Amino acid sequence: MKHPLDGVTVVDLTSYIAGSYVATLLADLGARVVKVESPTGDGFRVMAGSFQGWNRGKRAIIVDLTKQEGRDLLYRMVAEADVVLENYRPGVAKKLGVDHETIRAITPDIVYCSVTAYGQTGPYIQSPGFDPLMQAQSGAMHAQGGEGNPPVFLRVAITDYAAAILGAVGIAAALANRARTGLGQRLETSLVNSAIAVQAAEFLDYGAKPEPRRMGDYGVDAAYRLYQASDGWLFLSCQDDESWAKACAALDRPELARRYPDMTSRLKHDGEIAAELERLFARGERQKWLNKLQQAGVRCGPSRVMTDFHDDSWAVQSGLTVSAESPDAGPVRQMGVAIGFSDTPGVVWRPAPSHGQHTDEVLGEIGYSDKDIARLRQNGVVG
Amino acid sequence: MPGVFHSIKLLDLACDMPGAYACMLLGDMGADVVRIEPPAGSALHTRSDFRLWNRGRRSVSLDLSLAAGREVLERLVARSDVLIATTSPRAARQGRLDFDTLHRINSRLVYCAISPFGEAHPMADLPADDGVVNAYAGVYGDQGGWQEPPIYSRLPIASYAAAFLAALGVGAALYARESTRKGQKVYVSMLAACLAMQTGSIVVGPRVRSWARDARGQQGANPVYRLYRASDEWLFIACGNVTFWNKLCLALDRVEWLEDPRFEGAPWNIPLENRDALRDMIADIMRTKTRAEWLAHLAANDVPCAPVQTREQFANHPQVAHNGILSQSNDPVLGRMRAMAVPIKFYDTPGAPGTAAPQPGEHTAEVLRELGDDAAKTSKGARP
Repeated sequence: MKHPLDGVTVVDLTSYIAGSYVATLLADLGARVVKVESPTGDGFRVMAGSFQGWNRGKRAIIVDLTKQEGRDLLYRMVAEADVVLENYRPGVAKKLGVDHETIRAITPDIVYCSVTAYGQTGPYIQSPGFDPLMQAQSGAMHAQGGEGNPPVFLRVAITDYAAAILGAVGIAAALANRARTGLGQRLETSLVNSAIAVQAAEFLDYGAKPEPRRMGDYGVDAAYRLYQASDGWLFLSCQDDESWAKACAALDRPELARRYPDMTSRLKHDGEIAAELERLFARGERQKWLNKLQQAGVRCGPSRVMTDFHDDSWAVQSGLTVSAESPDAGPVRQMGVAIGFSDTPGVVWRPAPSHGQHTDEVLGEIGYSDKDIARLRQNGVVG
Repeated sequence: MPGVFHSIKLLDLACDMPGAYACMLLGDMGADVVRIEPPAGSALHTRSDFRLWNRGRRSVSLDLSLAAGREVLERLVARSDVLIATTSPRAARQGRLDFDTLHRINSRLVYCAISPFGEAHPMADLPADDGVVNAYAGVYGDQGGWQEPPIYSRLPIASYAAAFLAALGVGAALYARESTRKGQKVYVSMLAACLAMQTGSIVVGPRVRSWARDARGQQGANPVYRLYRASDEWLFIACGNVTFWNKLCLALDRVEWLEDPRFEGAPWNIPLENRDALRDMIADIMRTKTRAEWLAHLAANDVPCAPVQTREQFANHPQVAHNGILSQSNDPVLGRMRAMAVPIKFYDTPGAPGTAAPQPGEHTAEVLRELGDDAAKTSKGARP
C-alpha cells in the first residue's frame, strides 16, 4: 500500500469549493477520483488558477445526467466505486437519479457523502449558500469587525474549507468502518455545521462567560499582536506574565515588565504599552527582533503573505509546495499534500483536469468501445 | 447508536487546542478516549474552552517520571489504536513518547503528532502558537490586503484547521491499517493547516490571476461579492458567476451595466481600476432601502445575499436548530452550557457529543482496573 486511501475509487459529482475540495483531499491521500461534470461544467472553472487548488489530483469527464444514457453510464461507474460525493441543492440528486437510495441499490456498501450549505432537510435548504453568506450569518464577519464597527469579510473562506475537510474526515471514517464491518453508509456535512465547527470555542456559551476582550486591527492586546519593524511586520505572542517578562528583558526594556507585571496592569495601560513597543520595533530590523525574542524563548515570528511560502526552500524540499503544468492555467506552483504519513505518504497525482479531459479514457475503462463513445458524444450524452 | 469509530481506543496526550479538539471530534464519533494527565493536572483545566475540548473522555493521572507510571502508560499504548500528541519532537524523544519508541510497544498504533510548523521546518523547535503560525502562513498579511498592513484574524484558524486535518489523517491511517495491519506516524502542522484552508488562493503562475493583488479593503474586493450597508444594517451580496451578475443588474434596475465596457469580465475579472466606481454606485443604491427590504427584493430576484448577524442570532437560526449542531448540557464547572454537537452527520453511526469533561485523574482507578490486576500493583505511579 503506497498511500493511505490506495484503491479507493471516488465518483465526484461536485462543483465549487466545499464539494470539490473534499474529493481533492481524498485524491491527495491516494484515492482515484473522477469528477463528473455537466456539459456546462463546474461554475468555478472560470477561476482557472484557484480551480487547480480545489480540483488537482482528479480526472474529469462530461456526462449529461438529464439523459437516461448518461445515468446508465454513471451507474456503471458507481458499480465499481467506493465513494459517491455530491453537493447539489437538496432534491436535485434525486431528480438526476443519483440520490443515495438509487446508488445504494447498485452498490450496497457505498459511502455516500453530501456537502450542502444548510443540510438535506430543514427550513432554509433552498437558500443560496456560499461561504461569505455563511460567514455573514454565523457571526464571523460581525466578530472580526468588532461591536460598532463595519463587519469584515474574512479572506480565508473558512466555512467552505472547514466543510470540505470535515467531509473528508467523514468519508475516511466511514471507509475505515466499512473495512472492519463491510457496511457502507450515508453521511453529510454543511456550511451551517462547519461555520460552527470552525468557531466552536466562540459558540461555547455558559452563564458566566466573560465578554470577549476588545481587539484592534493588530491583535488582542499589546503583548499579543502584530508590530511593524523597520522592514516588515512580526507577531509577538505573550499570553502569560512569564513570557511577557522574558520579552521585555529580550527587548532591553525590563522596566516595562516591572511596571506592568500582570494582565490587569497591562490591560489598564494597554495603549501606552502598545505605543511604546510600536516605537521600539520600528527602530530595528525584523529579524534582529525575532532573534532576540526567540533566543529568550518568546513566541514570535514574521508576518508574511500566503504565497511567500512558495519561495521557502524548506517548503520545496518538504513537498509542501509543488509545481504542475495545468492544461487550463499553465505552469503553476501550488500546495502539496497537507498531511504527512510515515509509511503511506499521499500524492499529488496530476493537475486539475480540463473540462472533459478524460471522458474517453474513463469510459474505455468501464467497457465502452470507441464506437459507443462516438455515438454517446454524437447524442450529447458525453463530452 | 455507536459512532463510526466505536471500536477505536484513543490515547490523548495533547497539551493544546488543536490536539484536544481532534480528540473531541474522534471521541464524539465514537472513539474511547483516555486522556493522560500529569499528577499536578495541567493548566488547561482552568480554561473554559477545555471544558468543551475535553468532553467525552476519561482522565488518568500518571507520573511518567516513575517506572510504575511509565509501565501503566506502556500498557495503555499497547492496547490503543490511536495516540494524539502535541509535544515538540525533541520533548517527545526526551520523554520517550516519540513514535519510534511507542511503535515498538504496539506496531498497530497510529501516532498523530500535531505541531506548529512541522518537524522538518527551520522553526520547528522555536516556541510558537496559533498567532505566530497564522502570521507566518500569511493569514494576517492577506487579510490586510495588497500592500496594506496585516490585520489580525480573531478566529484561531491555524488551530481549528489543524484539528480537522488531524482527524482526517487519523481516519485515513486507520483505513490504511486495515490493509497493512500496521500503524504509522501521521504529521499535522498548523502551518500546512493554514495553507489547506486556502488551496484556491495560493496557486501562483504566470497565467494565474493573483488573489493577493486583488485584495483590497475589509468589506470585500469584488464589488458584486462584498458587504454593503443598507439604510440600517449590513448585508452580503454574493454574485459569484455571470448568471448572478445578470440577475443583480436586473434586480437593481441597472441593465445598462451589462453592456458597460468598464464591467466586462464581471463578476471576477472586472478590471481593478473600474471596481471602485461600480462599488460606489451599488453602495448608493443600497442606502435607499432597509436591509429587510433588500433581502426580500434580492431573494425574489434570485440574487444570493444574507444579513450580517451576531453569533447569538445564528445560534437561534431555525436551520441551526434543525441540524442540532448546538447542544445544551449541564457542566459541573460552567453550569448550563451550550456547545457544538457532532458536525458530521452519519446516518447509520451518528455518534453524540461526549459527556462533561472529567476532573484530572477522575478515571485513574477505573482504567487501571481495565488493565488487569498487575496494573493495580503498579498504581503507585498513578494518582487517582
